[in-house]
Amino acid sequence: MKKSIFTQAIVSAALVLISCATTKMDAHPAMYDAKPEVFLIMPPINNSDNVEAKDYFYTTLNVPIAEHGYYVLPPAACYSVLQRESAYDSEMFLEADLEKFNQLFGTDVCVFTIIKSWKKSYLGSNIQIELEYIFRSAKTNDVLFVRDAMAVCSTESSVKVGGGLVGALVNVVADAVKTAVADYVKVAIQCNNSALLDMPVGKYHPKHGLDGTDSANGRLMNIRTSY
Amino acid sequence: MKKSKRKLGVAFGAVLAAMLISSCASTKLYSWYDYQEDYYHYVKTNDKKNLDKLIKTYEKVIAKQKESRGVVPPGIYADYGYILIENGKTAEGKEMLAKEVELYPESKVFVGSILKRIK
Repeated sequence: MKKSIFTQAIVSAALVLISCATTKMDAHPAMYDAKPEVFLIMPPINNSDNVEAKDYFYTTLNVPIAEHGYYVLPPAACYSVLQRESAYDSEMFLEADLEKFNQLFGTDVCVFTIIKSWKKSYLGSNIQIELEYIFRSAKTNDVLFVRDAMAVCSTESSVKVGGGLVGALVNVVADAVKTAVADYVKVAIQCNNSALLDMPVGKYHPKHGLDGTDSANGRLMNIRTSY
Repeated sequence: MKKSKRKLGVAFGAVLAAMLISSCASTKLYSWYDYQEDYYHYVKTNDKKNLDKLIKTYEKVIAKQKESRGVVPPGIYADYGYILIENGKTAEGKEMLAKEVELYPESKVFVGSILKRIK
């Protein structure tokens, strides 16, 4: 019987790996063509009812992108300059020419985040967040990376490993970054980290140029976290 | 009984897969300490307490890098310098901005545009 559990485990592991068996090169070819180095985080577009959500995501997005080996422009200084230039409303630039950002900031990429919804269920103390990340080239205006993310964040006590393979999988990730303080900033950190996990790496990362055959997720990612 | 064993196997498999995937993504480049939380609290409530806390964290990030690159992460010198300048410490702030450009030459366009405004 022990043997059959082991076999089942191997098969399940293989299934999970196969289900995200797309390679990074196939999933995000434009990133490999454009070879961007410099990223500018645009203030998130907040279509949700939670007016505070914008700051949670803006202040936590530079770290995971820098950890992927890219140069991310200083968010505090950029925030002030964007405000002064009346370029704070990112929605105006979502489909517009981005060349002026290349000139003023020296950026290769503008990172757009759209917070589509932030719903709190009062019964289960869950938060459901729907997000979209779009990286656009500030040189060619091409879309380089897109990720839709559906995050279910539960208070620690209500998290159960039973949400299917993906749920169990991301619970492991969430456990690793779990901290004692219940705080929405941590929810944003976990969402950003998980949603960008398979982003191709840049020049400061030791795997730069070697990660094209690594596995990638589909466009939609389901994330389960606790806070 | 059979069903629960299968469930156990599936869960074990998922953990195995997670370990395989995370082992590919576990290289950490920089030490950030509480930077994300402290930066958020500074944006949310720009008071002396939060400013002091953020400045302490910038100093720690600059002084203690323990991860694989062993250098200060992108943007830290520049943001620290910018905040120092905003708080009247212009000379010290400019020094930090110069360090950003030295470590990350790709920041030159943006840092240059900040310096032009200060003059």
